Amino acid sequence: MGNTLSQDNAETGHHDHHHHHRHHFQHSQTPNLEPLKSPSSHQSPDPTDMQRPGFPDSSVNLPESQHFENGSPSSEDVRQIPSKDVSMVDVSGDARLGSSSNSGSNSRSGSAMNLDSADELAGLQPLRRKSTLILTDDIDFERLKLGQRPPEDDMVIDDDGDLGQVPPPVFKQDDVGDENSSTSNDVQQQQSGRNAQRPPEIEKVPTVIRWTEGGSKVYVTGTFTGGGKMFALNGPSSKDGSFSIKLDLVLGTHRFRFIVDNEIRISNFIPTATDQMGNLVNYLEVVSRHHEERSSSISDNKSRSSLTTMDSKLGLTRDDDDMGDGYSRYHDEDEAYVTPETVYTTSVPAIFTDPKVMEQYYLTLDNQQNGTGNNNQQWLIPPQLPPHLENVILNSYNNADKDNTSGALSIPNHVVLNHLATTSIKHNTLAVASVVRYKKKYVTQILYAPLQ
Amino acid sequence: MMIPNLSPEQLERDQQLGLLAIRNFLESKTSFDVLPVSYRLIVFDTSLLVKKSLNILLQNSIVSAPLWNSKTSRFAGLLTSSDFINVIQYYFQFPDKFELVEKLTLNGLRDVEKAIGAEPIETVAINPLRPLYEACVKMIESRARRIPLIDEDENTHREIVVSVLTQYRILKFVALNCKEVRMLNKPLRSLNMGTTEISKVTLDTPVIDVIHLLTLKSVSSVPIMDENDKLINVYEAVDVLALIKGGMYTDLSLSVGEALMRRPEDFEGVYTCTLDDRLSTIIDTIRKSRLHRLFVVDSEGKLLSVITLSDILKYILFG
Repeated sequence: MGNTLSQDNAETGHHDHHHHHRHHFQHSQTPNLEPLKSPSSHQSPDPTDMQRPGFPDSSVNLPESQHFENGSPSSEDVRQIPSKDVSMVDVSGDARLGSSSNSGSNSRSGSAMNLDSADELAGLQPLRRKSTLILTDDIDFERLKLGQRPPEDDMVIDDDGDLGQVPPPVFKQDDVGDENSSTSNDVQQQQSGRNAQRPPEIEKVPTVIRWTEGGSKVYVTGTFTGGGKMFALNGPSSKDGSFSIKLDLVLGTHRFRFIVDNEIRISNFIPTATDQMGNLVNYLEVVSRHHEERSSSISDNKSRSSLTTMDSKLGLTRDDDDMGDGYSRYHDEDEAYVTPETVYTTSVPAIFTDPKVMEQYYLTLDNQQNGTGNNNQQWLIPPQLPPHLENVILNSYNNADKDNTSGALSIPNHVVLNHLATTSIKHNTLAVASVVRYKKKYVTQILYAPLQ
Repeated sequence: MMIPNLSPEQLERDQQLGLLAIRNFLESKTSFDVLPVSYRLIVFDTSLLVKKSLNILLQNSIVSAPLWNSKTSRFAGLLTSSDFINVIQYYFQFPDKFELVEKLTLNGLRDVEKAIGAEPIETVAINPLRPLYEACVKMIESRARRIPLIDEDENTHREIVVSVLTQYRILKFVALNCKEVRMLNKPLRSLNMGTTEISKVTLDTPVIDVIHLLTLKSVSSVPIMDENDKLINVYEAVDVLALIKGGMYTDLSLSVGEALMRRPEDFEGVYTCTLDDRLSTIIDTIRKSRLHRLFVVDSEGKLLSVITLSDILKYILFG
């Protein structure tokens, strides 16, 4: 198999706003794989991965300000959406608020992270931005008015127009250790220096870790304690003799073990997996409370109506579930959540085939640029591949690592799930891969097949 | 490892308690527990050419892969070194069928099996959420060295290939996570474990004869002895992958000594032990090294018996 791969642009999914890029990944060992196309938002079985319909690329972290401006149009009707990709809906929410240019205001880049170690997390926390759930601002205001906890991981904060109304998020002190908190604060200061209007935020979810299997002194150690440190659990409780500790954990997957009376133990009541060496560990995935609220409030009519308004603003049309060729749209249990708003088609959008339309599009872009006094023709630069898709976890897999007898990979950020990656075709053989969830674990499947 | 000086009765009692604890451990864990939070799984489409599949195995440093029939959307068994051994034997029997061998797809492996009269390997699979103990029993019963973990999709009722567990991986999992293995301190000489009937070859034996021995005796390796009947090396079933790499089946006239020159440099080595060693030590070695069998030798290096991972697993389950 080849080591150099290029992204093919034969795919015509019109939501794929990075489909005319070539990206090369070089690596010596594993078959190199790279993202081929955007995920289908309708096949995700997991509500936390579920994206809003009509926002097919909403799981994609918007990497740089440049990206916003260079999104290629993803609708066939170029004139209706002159400069915005469907994937940019989250940012384009600001159109309403009169700030069509986000350039320079997005200093943070969404980066795909492997939540492998606490250290890594500590270093990257301030840069982290979760952007899977991209919703209209209205919902957030509703939440705020209801006195609920302010959303902490939503891209809505990028919306300059909103900032006046959003209370500054509370930056929680890191309980883990002085190092972490000072790092975070430093970066926080840097960040606020760069952009005083947008304080960074790391969502931490208070999580209770409980030990119910006896003992007299119980500690927990894991990826969130860092450097082999241990936290003592409180207990035993007079009620049931259990031990527990409440920790503010950053989002992602955490692995840990208990030390009960000087003996390493695994709880039988928490999911288990093996680490790279093969040691059994407990693990849990901390998901945003925000997400949970979202998914539990899907029947919220207000949210839905505001969504619809957004879509009609963008000129997105409704379609039915029949995808043609005997395929119908996949519906999860939460029917209400999946409101199909986009048209899937196999035809290449005219913007890529008809020079006239193309010219029209560029003219529109140019005018827009002129309008904002920003005449640097940035639209000439193709949009960039979202950074989290550039780091294909398979490409960092080291076959030579003998300790890794289980094929353990780093833990993927959920935004990379359900993307199809591919090698270039060599010797008539094609390898495709995708990272999917299987019962709270992640399987990176690689299928080798001949080209028929 | 320091072995406490215990009376035979104490040793026996510890041994039984240890075995019981390991069995309980295997009962309490599922195959799913053995999997890391994030892992890779390489699957081959059955329309892939056999020779290409070999290259891909070698490229990925793996020796086996689950197969997927995309026509039926079903799991189609495992590709293992024994499939390649079958192809080699087929080609040896029918040298004029070179074209066929060149064009052979993974789908055609069953026909090759039939043509040479090899016993088809029944692929037993297990649901990943079943106890690990059950997976071990199934492996021992089917004489398979690995077991695919297959689930069913709730919505489509199609099979999901989740992963594949090997005997080595299960024993390493036990070695790392079940501290009671330290109680297995009875010396091997009192365990009645392993096989004493061993087919041996020398470095000059043609490799094709060694390959025949592998299937004839249903073993995964054949020890290679020097003229003084001392163990000097071993030919493993997985070594055939390197033998037919690239050139395909042209080098079957080599001696086993020459064939071993093809072996990758990261070969784990040959592990030996004596009758005075204990299972606790052996399992600790499994934890540290990727070994698949131990040759039991006497103080002169004379080969007495061989203990495979199946033997160890069998002893843990039923011993």
